[in-house]
Amino acid sequence: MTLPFDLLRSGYPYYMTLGQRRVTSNPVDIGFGKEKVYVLTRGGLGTWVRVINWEDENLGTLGDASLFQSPAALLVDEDENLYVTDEANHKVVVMDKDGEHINTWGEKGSEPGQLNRPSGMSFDAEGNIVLSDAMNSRIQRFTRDGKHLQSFGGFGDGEGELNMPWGLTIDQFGDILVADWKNDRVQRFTSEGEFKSAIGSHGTEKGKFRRPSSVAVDGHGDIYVSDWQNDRVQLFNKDERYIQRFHGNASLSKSGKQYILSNLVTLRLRAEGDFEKTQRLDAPMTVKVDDQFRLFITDFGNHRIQIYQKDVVELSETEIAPKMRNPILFTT
Amino acid sequence: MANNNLALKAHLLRRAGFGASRFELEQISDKSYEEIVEDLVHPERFEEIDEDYLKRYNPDVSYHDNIGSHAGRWIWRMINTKRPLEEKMTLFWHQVFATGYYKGDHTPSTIQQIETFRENGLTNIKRILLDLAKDPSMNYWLDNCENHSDQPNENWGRELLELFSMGVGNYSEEDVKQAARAFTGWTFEQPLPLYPYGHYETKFVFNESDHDNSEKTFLGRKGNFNGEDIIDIICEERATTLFICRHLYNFFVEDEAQVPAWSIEPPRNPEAVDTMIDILMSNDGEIRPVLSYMFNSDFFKNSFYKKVKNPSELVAGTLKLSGRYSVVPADGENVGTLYGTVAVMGQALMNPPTVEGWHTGHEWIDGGTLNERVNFAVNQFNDVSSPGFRDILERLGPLVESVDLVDSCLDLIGPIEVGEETRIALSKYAEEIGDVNLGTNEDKVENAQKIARMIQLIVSTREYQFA
Repeated sequence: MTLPFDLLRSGYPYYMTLGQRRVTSNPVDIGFGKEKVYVLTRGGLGTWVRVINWEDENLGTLGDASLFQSPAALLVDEDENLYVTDEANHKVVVMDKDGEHINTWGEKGSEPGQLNRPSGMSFDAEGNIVLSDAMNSRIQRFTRDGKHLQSFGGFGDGEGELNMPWGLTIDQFGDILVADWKNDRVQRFTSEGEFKSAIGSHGTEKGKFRRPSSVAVDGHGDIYVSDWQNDRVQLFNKDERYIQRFHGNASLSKSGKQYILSNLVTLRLRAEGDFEKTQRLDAPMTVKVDDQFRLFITDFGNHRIQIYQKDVVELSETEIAPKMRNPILFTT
Repeated sequence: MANNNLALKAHLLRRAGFGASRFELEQISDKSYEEIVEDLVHPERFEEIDEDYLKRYNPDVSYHDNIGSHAGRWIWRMINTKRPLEEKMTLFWHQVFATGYYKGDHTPSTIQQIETFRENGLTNIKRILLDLAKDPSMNYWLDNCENHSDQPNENWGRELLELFSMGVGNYSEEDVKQAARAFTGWTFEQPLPLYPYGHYETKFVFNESDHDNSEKTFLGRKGNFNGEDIIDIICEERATTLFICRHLYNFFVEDEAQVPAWSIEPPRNPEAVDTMIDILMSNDGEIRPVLSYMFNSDFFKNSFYKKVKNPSELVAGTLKLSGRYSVVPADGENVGTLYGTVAVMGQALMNPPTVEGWHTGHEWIDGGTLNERVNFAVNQFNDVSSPGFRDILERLGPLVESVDLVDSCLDLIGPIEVGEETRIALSKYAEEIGDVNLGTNEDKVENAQKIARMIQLIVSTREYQFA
């Protein structure tokens, strides 16, 4: 697998919003079926998987407290089976696309294969599940039915050490990128669990993080990090160089627009209020990307999914000047 | 009492905070009582509580929709803060300037008001009243957003004088009208609607075109007063400092009569309150010097068990002992449930019933609430694996002789003192179970329930209801 040599970054415009309060209330993760969108929600307004479609229609919910208590992450496989990590019960719950319970695996502990608050998950190229074992400050790999395959990491702030990791993803080359939550960085590991590099440190400036909660990598090798307590998502290129921030630029979802248009007082209040703040992200928990280079952000505090569409031109080595050793002022 | 110094520090931390575990008392063992008071009135010396763990594992507190989650978050702060007086003063002002969530149903404004009390609660009475006058939650609660230059609404002006500063009998009906005129145009920015994406914050707005800028006569003074001028004048009045100091005495030292009776009932300790007034006035309304004086006074040091714990004190203090709801929430633990816990005891935090606030002291307790209070405290020690109970078990040592069991447990729970009748009942249980062996892990497993039962009996006592 090869990545383009470089990109002409035309822009990353806002594309659309899905969901609204009482439908996609407090989304913590998102997964995609062939025609459906699965939104994992958690909180007083509903802890379950909300099913919607691309027309932003509510198709009901899957799962409930009898299956999972404190869900943290969602994976959807090729058969649209749903895998949910449950932090409260230290388990991974599997159900089919109709919500029928298929399997539950995992037990609390710190031995290899045991779990203590599993959170973020990703499939590897073989379809196994790699997950963050948060309170054990490590990463573990399992088969889909829960057979333990690998563990690495361990508590600390040195290279390769972790402190309560949250989201993770696996790139085209099998590298595992982990949101090293309490260390305010993203770490990249080989598939064998060897440390390769780290991105970021604590702060609010560009390229720094306050409790990163999720990471995603697209087909260009671009890295997206949900910078949870900074209320933003940050983009880094394949060389891990900072590119840009997303603070949120949402417009109304289809369902949101319908709701407001049917409520005269809500219409009036929106007309009177400070409209700009409705666009922003609030505690974004998860970032996902798809093969169409769309970026999905679970906008937790705003009960919605913000979607952006990448606009770039892929460049070969001969289509762009070589990197310069020095900056130049002559830029005409 | 076995250790008077320790008991006195525990008393201080029950009143100026929400109690202390034995571990926390040990951490300040090398500090004098006076040094601890200084630390308490200077919370900025200590780190702010790290809420990130709570937000991760109780994500409801990351957004602004759910009042119960935020009330629970506040109790979690009471339990875990390293700045106990900061939280206690937040609760104090919440009690005095009672603002109910239920009228506006707008969580961000309620949260913002509590955060303002947290930020300014130890500063100056003038600043505190001015921030209150600009607070959107209060503004809506007492209708000042409907106080227009051509159609004044007196609700805020009246309660500012009656319930928030001077008290009945110290101003005229005409003063209320003039104060209301001075606050015309003090309103707030229209917040965005709840749907479709949740609540958004709002902020104070001064609408100059809706302000009555003409001359007013207020408490004998004449001028084109605005709201700030009214607060300046109020704060010069001895009645205001009396009102504030009596509230401080009532909240921290000794239960007084209910506030509506203050115009006819003198303070329980007029000399103490007079001295507090002098300190407040000579320090231009600064709160810290009054608190320092009060906590170091003999009347405070001799006020053991003269206050009924309010529900927040009872709940937060008991949870400090049991070690539950620590900084990193336990598996599946949800702080939002704590809102219901204090609510059924009569103190729905962030949601007091009226502008008068809660009736306090013995009125916290009736047949129903006593049942809730005792059951709650007892239930916290059903789980012998709770970290607080494990700590008590370790500290009791390998063998607790029956004759020592009552005193040892009373010491580790407080230290607290109990009356003769209570002691006889506790001793009877200690005699029943005999000496308790805790030397090995097996012993601890076998005998933990016996100790837990003793702790449950202690937290069920009449004395435990008092601070």
